[in-house]
Amino acid sequence: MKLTNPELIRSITSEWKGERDRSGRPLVESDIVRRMEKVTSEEAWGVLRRNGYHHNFAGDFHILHPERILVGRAVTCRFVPTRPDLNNAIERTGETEGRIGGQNSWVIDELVEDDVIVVDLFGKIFDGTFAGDNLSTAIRVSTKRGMVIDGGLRDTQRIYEMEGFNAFIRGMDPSAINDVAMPDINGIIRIGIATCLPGDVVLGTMEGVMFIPAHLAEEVVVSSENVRLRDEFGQQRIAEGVYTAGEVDREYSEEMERDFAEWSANRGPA
Amino acid sequence: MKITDTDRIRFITSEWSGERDVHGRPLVPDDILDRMKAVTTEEAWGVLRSHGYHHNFVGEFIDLSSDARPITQVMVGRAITCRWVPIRPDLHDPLVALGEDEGRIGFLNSWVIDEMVDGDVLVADLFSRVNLVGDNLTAAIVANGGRGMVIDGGIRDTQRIIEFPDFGVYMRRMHPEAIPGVTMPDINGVTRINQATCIPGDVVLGTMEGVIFIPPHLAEEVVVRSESVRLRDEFGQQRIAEGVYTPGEVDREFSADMQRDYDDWVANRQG
Repeated sequence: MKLTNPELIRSITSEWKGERDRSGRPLVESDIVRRMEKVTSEEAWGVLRRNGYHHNFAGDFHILHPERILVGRAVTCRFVPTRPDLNNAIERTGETEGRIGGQNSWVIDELVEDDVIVVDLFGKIFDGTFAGDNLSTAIRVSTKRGMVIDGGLRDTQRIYEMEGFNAFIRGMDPSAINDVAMPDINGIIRIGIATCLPGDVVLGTMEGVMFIPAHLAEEVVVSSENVRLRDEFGQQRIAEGVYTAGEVDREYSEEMERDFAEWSANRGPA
Repeated sequence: MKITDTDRIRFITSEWSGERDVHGRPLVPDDILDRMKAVTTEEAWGVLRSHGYHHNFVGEFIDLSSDARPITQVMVGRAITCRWVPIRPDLHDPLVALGEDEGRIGFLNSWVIDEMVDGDVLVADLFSRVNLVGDNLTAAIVANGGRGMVIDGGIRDTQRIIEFPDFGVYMRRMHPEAIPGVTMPDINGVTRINQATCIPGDVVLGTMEGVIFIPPHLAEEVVVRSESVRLRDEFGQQRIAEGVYTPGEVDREFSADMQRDYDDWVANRQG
């Protein structure tokens, strides 16, 4: 038995032509991940929607730092209520693969910089806290990003103090994770009404979490940058009294389009 | 890529040493399934509990009982599972292509039904929100020998579906819509039904209380324990009626004399 199925992930993410890690997970370029930080939920949603992706946003989270944006590459895991037959099989597999500690720490041990861990704990909060301050420290140190947990968090007061880190959770509880087993690492998981695949670019804002397919990440970033550039141009020209609000808020005329092209050439990248 | 991971099922169910189907799914014998029909939810629960299985019962399904469908109706069969998630083109398209390669036809819900054989119960995770089948696919399940379905989700055509006699229907919602916005990454994988976990080959016991997923290697013990309890109850109640023992004597551990009497009684009892 394997906890990770790279063949499955490769075949599902076949539209991604770039780099992958050894679990088959797409590795969107760091430059795109960094530029994603400025994208709004609606901008990403628009591009996904246009491409036929209607079930990639999950909301209704408790967000530890709503003022912080969470961006990174998804590493996924799925938990279910435990059974001895299943749990024994998972533990034997873990032992064979040289994994140590609780099953939740197995997936944390695999994290690298710019990852976001995405956890299906089926909304369990009591006895369903994926991490406390120790494991959160491990996640923070390896990813420098954060986590999305359809489940609980403990040691929240300590985790709140961590800089450059964020957590999207369903609730807080002092109990530890218990009575669950983890049949999949980097499999296909459901978070609320959304589906997350490993290697998705996670975009967490004050509104919730968007799972952006790896092959659409660049389009999302470029489209957002273009919108922002046009907004900046339009607002500047309105302030200068060059165009009216009505002229700016519809499709540009040919003349305006030439003006915009010149303006952006002189301005440099957004 | 495969929709069913045979090696995984074998590994998880390695405590089962009996027969398996082509997918590695444990096949508990028909005789045990027949005898399981007389087991109560609590009897099964007790045995599972004593083996450390605390998350195998799930309740709170919609009650469809009526004069034509007595609430005492029991469903027993071998679990065949499927897990659904909200649809994404990148996930759904390769699944459909794969299904086509494997010669599967129709939408994904019919793929799992096509795999069902006599004595199966279909167990589906649709996260309580989406329908799985209407009356046509239910007819297909019945035609394949399916004993019922456990859907953490819904059905359509309920008025038609309840007309199938002696067929278990455990579900959470009724809606006239079809099966919108979902895709199926696993057949015969580890499947969560609310607070319980189901593994393919589990013996599913559905009663008026809900559904319990009995690991195949424990099915015989569940049946034997239940039969033993029922036999002792029959013996004790008969002897109380005959004035041989008092209720107090019967309702504690039998004395050595009573045990001998019981063993004789069992040996002489018909059936």
